[in-house]
Amino acid sequence: MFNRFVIANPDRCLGCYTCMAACVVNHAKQGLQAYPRLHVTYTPVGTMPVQCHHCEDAPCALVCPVKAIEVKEQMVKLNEGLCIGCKMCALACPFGAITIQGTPPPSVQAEPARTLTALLAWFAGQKTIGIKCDLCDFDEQGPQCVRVCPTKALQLVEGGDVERWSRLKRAGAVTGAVAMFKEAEG
Amino acid sequence: MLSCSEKGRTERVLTVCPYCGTGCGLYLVVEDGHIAGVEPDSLHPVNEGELCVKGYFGYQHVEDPRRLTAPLVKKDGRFTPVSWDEALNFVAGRLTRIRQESGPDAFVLFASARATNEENYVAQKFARAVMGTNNVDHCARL
Amino acid sequence: MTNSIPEISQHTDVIFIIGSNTAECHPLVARHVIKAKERGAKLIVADPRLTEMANKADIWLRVPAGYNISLINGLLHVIVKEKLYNSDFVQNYTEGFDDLEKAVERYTPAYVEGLTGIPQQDLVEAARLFARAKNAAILYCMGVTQFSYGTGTVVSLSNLAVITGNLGRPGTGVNPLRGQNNVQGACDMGCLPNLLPGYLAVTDEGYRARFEKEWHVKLPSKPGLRIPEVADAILGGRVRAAYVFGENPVMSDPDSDHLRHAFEHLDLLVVQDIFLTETARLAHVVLPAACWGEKEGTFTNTERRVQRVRKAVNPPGEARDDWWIFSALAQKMDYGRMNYLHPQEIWDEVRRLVPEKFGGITHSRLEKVRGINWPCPAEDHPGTPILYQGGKFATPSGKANLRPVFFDPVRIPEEVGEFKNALAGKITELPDEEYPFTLTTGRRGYHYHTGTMTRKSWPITQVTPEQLIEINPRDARKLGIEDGDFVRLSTRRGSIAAKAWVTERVPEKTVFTTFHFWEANVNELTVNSTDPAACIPEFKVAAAKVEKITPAEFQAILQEKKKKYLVDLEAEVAGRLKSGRREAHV
Repeated sequence: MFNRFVIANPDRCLGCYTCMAACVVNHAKQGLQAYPRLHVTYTPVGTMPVQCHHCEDAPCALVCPVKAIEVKEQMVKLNEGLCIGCKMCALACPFGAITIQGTPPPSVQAEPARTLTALLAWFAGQKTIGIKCDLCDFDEQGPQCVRVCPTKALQLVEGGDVERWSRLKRAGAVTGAVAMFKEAEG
Repeated sequence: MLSCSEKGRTERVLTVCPYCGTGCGLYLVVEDGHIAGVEPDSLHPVNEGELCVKGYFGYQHVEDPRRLTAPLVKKDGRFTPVSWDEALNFVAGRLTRIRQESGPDAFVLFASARATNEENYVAQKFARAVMGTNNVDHCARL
Repeated sequence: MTNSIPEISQHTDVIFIIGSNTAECHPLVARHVIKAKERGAKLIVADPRLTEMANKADIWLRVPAGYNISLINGLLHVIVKEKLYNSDFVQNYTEGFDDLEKAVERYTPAYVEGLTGIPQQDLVEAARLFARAKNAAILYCMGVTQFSYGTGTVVSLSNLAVITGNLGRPGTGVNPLRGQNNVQGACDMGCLPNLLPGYLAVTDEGYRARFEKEWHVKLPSKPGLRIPEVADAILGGRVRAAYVFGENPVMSDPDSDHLRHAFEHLDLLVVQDIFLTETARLAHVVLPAACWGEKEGTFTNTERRVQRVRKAVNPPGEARDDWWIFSALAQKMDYGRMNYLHPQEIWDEVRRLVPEKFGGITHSRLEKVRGINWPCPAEDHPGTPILYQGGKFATPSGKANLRPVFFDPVRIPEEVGEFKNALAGKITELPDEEYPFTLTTGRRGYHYHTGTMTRKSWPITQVTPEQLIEINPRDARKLGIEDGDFVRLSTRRGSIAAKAWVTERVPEKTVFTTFHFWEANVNELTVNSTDPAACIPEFKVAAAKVEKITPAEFQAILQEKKKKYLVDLEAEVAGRLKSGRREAHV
């Protein structure tokens, strides 16, 4: 079975950042780093959030010197407790899907985030480590980005989906080839 | 206060998003008298069970510790908490005097596109009926 | 809006979005546009910026900031020349077509291309697409209105809808997307200097009499001051007291330093708000208001849908509903007709006074439905999601008025005088050698206006903590600016500093930023010239210059702004209020 991953359809993405904020909130609730694990990226050809593809032969896991990143349970998992913030994974990732976070941007006054209960309190800058998508594997509702997207631009792709789409594309390719030869003959 | 949640209870209060003019329906999830989250209204014809980033996550200002909790009057350049009675007497006295000295049109009211219909109605009624001026406007033209 | 939002995904075949960053500023309206597209509808977008709607458009018309009227007249020209207009509709339901036809004569695709750089073919295709649609809807926002000729631009959009017969049917219409949750309601309730609740003119004796009878008082007949006129009225000594509730004009008004300066000259500034906003910090008296989520009442959205808002939690400390505060103050000033106990009583008074619009919208009906669109004159009336059905318009003749509109960037065109009823405009401040950029302003999806609320919601600030100034990559290269460098943006009125976002979203020689952050509030830079009819300021065009600065220079500017906006005062007062309450509890 392939690893699972979340991907966005740029035809539907509004660039509204709802996915990113939902990501932050869901991870903060778990006591994980309160940073987004997907990044809305504007380009002249289209806009969508970019996040981890949970590669089968994940380069980030290969370069991690402390085995904080492992491929298991159909995903690429980063253990925030083990990570030493060496940044190798971020350099190796072909999608730019891993960020190194923990300190606030220079123009912003550092202050503790306000949370409703003391249990959830966290301070920016406490620990600088790699941040990447974990498919919200702690949450029975699944990835929050998928759930909150107002245009349903995001979806969770599971192993079978890729094969199904490939079958559809192959079928399309046959139709195309048939048409091409017909035209060439005619 | 029927819709207010009591200790130990979770309630969902149907209301409308306070941000843009789209007017999406949402539920405030109230736990122990505090807002714990927001859920979209799936029966609303406009947002049909979806919300944007402000609708989902823009509610935390409500219980922010910096909320104003008492009337303030600047005394010797410093904001000083006072009772409602003192604050309202102060404002009423000053407004009455300015109206006597300079006429009703020396007063302007900036109303609010953020407040309810009822509050805006009362605000313009205050300007027109109490102060006697049509100097009431709000940011619709901005 | 003349129509309702769900019609877009259900009925519209061609959507024309102009001057609206719908994806970011009204995402749940944009969702209906995406749904319509997936059904096969076509999308035309006119915007100087490559917004997400422009990115998804079938035809994107990259109109330079300020040139909307040229573009719309160009569309009208093609539609008239190619006889694509709805001649039955024009004949039966409109007046003024001949003048309009004459007025758009010179706006040929070639002429419009010369003015705006929009390729002729794109303009022609857009005109044909729009005119041939079964149901075409126009969506617009502040990118149409915030000019010193904003009224003219709206009128030209109305011309476009009218001659193609796109009014009064599902999925059509001229649809302004209103910016605030209840900006429609505040207008409906008469928070305008020339209109009583229900859009009844203060100058009309009959209308005044209606309110005088209920309110037991003689009402003034002279229209009052409009917000952009207030600063000069204060400095001229005509206004001595201002009462601001739920608004932050020191951040949101154009050329905001001028207004701040004026406010400092007031004998009395009362601010009623939920936080010690930038404006409240200047006040003599600050009154703590209850917030959304803490009070009952109704909001009216951009579709004229009146909806119930409900109380979920109690207000903190001594904070009170805005209506309670005004009522209490009225009683202190010996006015006895404002003793309310519940917002429902107030709403019933509105229904009594303006039955033709709100009479049928009762609180008990609103308990059962997701809002009712006014006008709704009776309790058995379903409400009116679509205005002007059957070609009946709210004009003296009952017909839609077509009015010629002219525009020239430099000077008002002379032919305006040849037409009665014509509107015209020019840009107040064009780029020049010293200020070579066009500065245009707006919002981002994730923050709201002056940031009073969204900047206190940590998930939002965590994702998007700071101001960004959008600049085109070519301009950035020329100025040696890289993405993320600090830049200073200046106009004749002031300067701000923030990080550069080097992006194709803005065209060359145009920069864009927002008014969400006191650290770099673009309204210190905007022009305060206004539209003669609507008095809306020209937020969308100013001449500006951009310079790269060092992080140290940025820090110095940040400290200046911090002092100017009295930023530390908010936390200080909040701390004092908190310790005061703790002492009181002990």
